Amino acid sequence: MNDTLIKLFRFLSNVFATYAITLALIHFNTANPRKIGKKTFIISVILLVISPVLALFKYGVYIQISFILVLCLFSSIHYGFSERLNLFWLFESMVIVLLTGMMLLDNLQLYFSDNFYTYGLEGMCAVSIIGFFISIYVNYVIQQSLLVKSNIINEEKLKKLQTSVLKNQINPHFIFNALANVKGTYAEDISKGNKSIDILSSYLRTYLSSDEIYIVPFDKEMEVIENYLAIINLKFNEPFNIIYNIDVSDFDIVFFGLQPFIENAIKYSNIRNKEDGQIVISTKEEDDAYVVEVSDNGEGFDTEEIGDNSYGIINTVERFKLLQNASVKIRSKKGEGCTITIRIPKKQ
Amino acid sequence: MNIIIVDDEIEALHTFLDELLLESKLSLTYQFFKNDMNAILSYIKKEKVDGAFLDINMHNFTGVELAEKILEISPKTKIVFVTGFNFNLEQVEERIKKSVLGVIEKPVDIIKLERYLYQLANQAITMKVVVFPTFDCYINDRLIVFSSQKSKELFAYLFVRHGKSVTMEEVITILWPDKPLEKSKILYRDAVWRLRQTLKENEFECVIFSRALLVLDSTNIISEYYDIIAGKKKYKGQAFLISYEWSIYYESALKDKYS
Repeated sequence: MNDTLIKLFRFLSNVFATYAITLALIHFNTANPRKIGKKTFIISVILLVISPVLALFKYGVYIQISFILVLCLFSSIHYGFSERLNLFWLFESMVIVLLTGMMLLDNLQLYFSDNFYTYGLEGMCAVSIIGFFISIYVNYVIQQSLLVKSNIINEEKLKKLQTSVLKNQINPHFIFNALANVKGTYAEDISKGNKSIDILSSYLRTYLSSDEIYIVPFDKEMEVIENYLAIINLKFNEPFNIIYNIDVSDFDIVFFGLQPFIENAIKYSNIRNKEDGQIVISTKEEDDAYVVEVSDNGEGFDTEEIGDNSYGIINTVERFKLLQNASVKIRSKKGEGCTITIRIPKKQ
Repeated sequence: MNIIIVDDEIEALHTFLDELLLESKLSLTYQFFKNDMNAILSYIKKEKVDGAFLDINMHNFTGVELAEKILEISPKTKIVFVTGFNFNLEQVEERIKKSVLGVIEKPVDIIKLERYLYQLANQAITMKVVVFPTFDCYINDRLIVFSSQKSKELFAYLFVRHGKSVTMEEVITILWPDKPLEKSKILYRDAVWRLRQTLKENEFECVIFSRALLVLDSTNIISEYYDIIAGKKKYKGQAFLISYEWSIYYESALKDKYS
């Protein structure tokens, strides 16, 4: 009875030690501790299952130990000589090799002499677990420095995107057309003409000063859109039919994030020629995000055909992702209008 | 009230001020100056100046430098900076900032200019609301144009409720009695948004907008209707808010209580 208990205890400790070592190895083999690579996962499952079982057999323990040692070696080559070499990792790998060496000795003695007490095995388990937590901390430090690096890259990317937004928007055609419309408005009514000049200068002021501004309150973005619409409407006797289904407005949004979608709806939906044609701008608040939608019931388009012309849209979607981690979904079918849904997650 | 205007391109402000003064009820005297520092400072030494509209980008010196010199001589003068583009008030020193009312951008928006002039004169801008026979609002005799009929009707309803708060459901039953609820909620939000923008544009934000309620702050609103309700005048049976069907209830209240 006693014998079986001891054997059971050894078996369980063995499983535990193997598990701890496996976790440490998985950790070393992945950049993000939460993301486990497929290969590593498969190997760790094999290890977890086969290896403790092997230890039950007389010479199986050799296979188990060799298996683990080979993995350690593989891990040290892969991780140690890849982009990030750090001293803590080296220390960890040495400890693991030592650990497994001690386990080898311990197991040998266990199986060849039942009188030996398994201090070593318990010790190894403890070191393994402590080591695991140390490596998590080390990895955190590595991740932070990687984050800083990627922030710098993101900022450069953002600057590039922002510049092209501006270039795209201060479109000479738009400006000169607008000026022509302003001139025309004066023929109607002087105060209307004055008002249209105010609108145009407000529009220009916004674009020209938007260099360093990436995110604005929703109200400010709506100012941009209303200015834009006011200029477009100068051409027509009847303004575009826009419905502001605004349920919430105290949140922030990417500057010129919404405007390109409105511009697209105006240009391509052809709602002026449709009875009850309208563009609806909606906002609502959900538990974890603010949802902004631009939808029209116009001509729609085949989403497969989004090609080079929609550089402005691709640029905008990129900026939403980079600046607010926001997702943009474009749903449209020919003849069924178009709906753009922007989900802006709330900051924790 | 006496103001000075300094700009090395004087025509810009000239036209606006002329237009404004034709309509304005403020008794205002004004003096134009080009960027001649000596002329300006000697004028300030002789005459009392309540407000100074100073261009920022001038040839010999900036508007901020001029402001500093003016305040040395006349510390009670209030300053308004006029800028073409990209002037940040934050970069001005605290001791000057205290006397600055704000910044106007060129081309000058008449509504903003009016707001500063009224501020200088320590007078509140008032809105005049006419209800007999139709609903119209005026600020300084300038008709307010609402961007949609329903947003105007919403304002009329808030006006008639006279400071009592109003809920979305209430407004929907009054303004869209025949539409299905979901559709009317969208139209309600549209009307609320449009009203908010119109009041913002006209620098007369007299409505408190919250998600559940709307309330009108009638402090600076003048109207014959309010006089009648307050008992200062009698209702003489005039046609009342004829464009809105819901006015019937309020009209009969007028007849019963205030004739």
